[in-house]
Amino acid sequence: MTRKVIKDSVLGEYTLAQLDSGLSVYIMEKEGFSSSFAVFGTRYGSVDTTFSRNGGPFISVPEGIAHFLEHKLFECEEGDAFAKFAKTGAYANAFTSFDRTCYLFSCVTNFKENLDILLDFVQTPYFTEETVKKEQGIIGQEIKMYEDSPGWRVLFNMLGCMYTKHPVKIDIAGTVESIAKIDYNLLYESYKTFYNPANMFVCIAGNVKTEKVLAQIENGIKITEKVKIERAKFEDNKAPKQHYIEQRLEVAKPIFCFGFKEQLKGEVQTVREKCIADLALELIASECSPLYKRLIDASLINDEFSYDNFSGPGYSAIIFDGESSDPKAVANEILKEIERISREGIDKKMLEAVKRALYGDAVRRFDNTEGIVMNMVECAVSNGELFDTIEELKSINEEDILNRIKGFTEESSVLSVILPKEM
Amino acid sequence: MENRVVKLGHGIDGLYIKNDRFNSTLISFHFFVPLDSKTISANALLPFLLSSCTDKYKDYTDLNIRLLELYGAMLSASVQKKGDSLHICLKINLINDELTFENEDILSKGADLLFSMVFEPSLNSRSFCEKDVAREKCKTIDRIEGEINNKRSFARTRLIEKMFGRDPYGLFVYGKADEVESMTGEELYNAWQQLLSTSYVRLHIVGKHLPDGIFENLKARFQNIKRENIANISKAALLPKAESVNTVTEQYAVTQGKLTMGYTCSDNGEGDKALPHLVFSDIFGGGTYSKLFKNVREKQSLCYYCSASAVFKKGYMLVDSGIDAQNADRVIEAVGKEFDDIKNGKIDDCDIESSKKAVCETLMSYYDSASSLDLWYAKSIENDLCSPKEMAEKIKGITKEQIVKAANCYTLHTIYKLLPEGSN
Repeated sequence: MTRKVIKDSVLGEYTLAQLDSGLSVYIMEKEGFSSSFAVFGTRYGSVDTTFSRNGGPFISVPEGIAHFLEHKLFECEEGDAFAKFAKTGAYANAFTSFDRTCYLFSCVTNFKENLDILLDFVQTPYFTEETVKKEQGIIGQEIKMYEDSPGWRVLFNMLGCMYTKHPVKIDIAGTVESIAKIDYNLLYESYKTFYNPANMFVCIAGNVKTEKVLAQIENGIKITEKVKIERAKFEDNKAPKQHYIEQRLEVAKPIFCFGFKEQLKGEVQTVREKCIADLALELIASECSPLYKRLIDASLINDEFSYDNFSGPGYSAIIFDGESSDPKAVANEILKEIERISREGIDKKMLEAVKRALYGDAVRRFDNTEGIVMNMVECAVSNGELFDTIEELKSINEEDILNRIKGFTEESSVLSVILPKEM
Repeated sequence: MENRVVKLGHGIDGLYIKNDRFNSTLISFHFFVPLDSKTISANALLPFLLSSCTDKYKDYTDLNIRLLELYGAMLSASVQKKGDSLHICLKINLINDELTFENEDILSKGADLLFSMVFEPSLNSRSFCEKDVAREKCKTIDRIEGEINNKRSFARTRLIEKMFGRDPYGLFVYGKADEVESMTGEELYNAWQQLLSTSYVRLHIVGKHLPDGIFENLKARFQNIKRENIANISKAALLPKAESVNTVTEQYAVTQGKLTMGYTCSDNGEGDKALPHLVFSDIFGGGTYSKLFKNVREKQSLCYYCSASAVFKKGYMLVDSGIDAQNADRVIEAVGKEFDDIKNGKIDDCDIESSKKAVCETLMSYYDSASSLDLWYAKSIENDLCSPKEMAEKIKGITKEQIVKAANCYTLHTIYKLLPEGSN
């Protein structure tokens, strides 16, 4: 095992360890806290649909399989993991996103017992033909729920315009048709590939003692041979395949998602690139910006307006979304503001104020164990470290941000709109 | 008792919830006014208007720049129904002074800013400014009309509307769009004056430091405000049992149907008598050990979610689920069976233990979240401020008999189905 303690004068310290099995472990003791939060996760999400194991041929699996596997792992030969957590009183859950699957619990008491349950059920797959079939009904309902979600649809419609090949365009849960193709063998195949300690991480924060927890994890990780995973690369065109898409759903007023497709320099964004995007977004569209004032005063947006740096392995987009009676006018105003900033440059005083606010946000994220652990998970999937954001923020200048903003062009943009149903 | 309320005036209390574990401090104003169809639209708009600008920061852009300078202080406004009251809340969260770059005094500046929103709004004589009113009216109308965008909460809202009918609890929390549309700056000014003179007021501070003189400041602010007819928020009216179950079906352009079921309770209130009801609704449809999760979702695969929550303060319980339209009757039957089983005492001891443990864990975890502590103490306005820890201790003593007795207080009142167009 290799390990190091990473310290920050304001935020405290945490331990980052790499076990001999290859598992990454992040632990932050939060003295005085009542609860603890733990995640056992794998770098495996909905985009990992085509892969090779140990140099073998590339295989493709049905869309939605990572999420399906997440549901099934709770099942154990002797009842399910939820029943075990019910005995300890812990809150347990799991989620799958584009590039990760995480199993989690939070508890005030019985931490050791809960961690044992977590380590055990994630490493003990158990499915039968019958239970796989049963899950298709539950997940089918989940998929249908998302089909009615305008916020979800508007995002995936936009991604569908941006990416022709990359599986980020596919719903995380897959489709009713794709999950019908999932069977017992495919689930095991995916499990054996991605649920290997070298591809996994454990992140913990709260009322714990690092030494004890590390020892418990070392004991609880099963010895398995390291697996070499190769994920397929998807060569998409630089520009989106179309710039506008609309769909009608039961909504009160149009919902929009206006995104700029970006080209990644590496496999994923670095912490510095993420910080630059965050600063750029604040300067373009925060509630202090001239753009926000223009849009609000013209009643073109409301409280639902937000923005995001949406990025993961092989995909990256800057997104503005919200509700508007005229989404095209909003998109136009955003483009005009980007053009203005590119032309006039960035106000130094405003940049300092935004940096100060992002520092405040970072400090506040260390106020709860879940926030800390989710930060750790982000680090685990992007090979970053927990306090990097605060350090990076200090050294980013106007030029770094302007260079990024200049890439937000009309040619790289997609406007996705959900319109109210025609009367 | 861990925390003591400081009486600051007639119907005005302050509460310092000291907690050293946070990097930030939360300061919140809670106002309680009666739920009333005549005032709800104005009252629901007020916190958003008050938090958008002040006399000093007349433009919201300037106000937001001020928040940036205070290390991105988080400002928020909200309204919620609590029994027969409307709970109006304004809060600010600031990082602790010692974590600023140069040990700056931002806590008291943040407190001053929050106070100025409540007491020194941007006015034009005895009216709010036209442009601010117009902006907030648009946003509120969008909030009201946008409810349909989230089908799950929309179905819950429609059930409550249908179930409570003319009872003020049936009102939509943001009021009515046509009333908001015609609202004037003068009307909102009057609503603000009314809020300051008649609401029950609570000021909370959650964190390591109490801003200097904050309670004295609040007292002084109310010195020249005549406080009278303070809202009586102690008891909510009960909805009578339905003679027969009312079933309402509406069709929309959706893929998944939503099924919601509302139950009336023969009792309501707060404090100790609410505890068996909390455990009952948790066993029925709370966590993953609940009867609805285990049997309706897991065993019968009828839905992705199916949960129950009791609102004992008002005396009702709600079950909601996302379903295939064709399964609606099967789900109603399955939910009914689980409900009857509890009423008949068919509950495993281990389920009771699981539920009690989970509820206790949740309560104890509130100490790690400033916003949970804030809401917890805003919830218990009229009893003796039982702490989450004290509540957890009491939960441990709840018996099966008490749970079964609580279950028997509930009767199905209304079923609301939101189904895809063309469903039978």
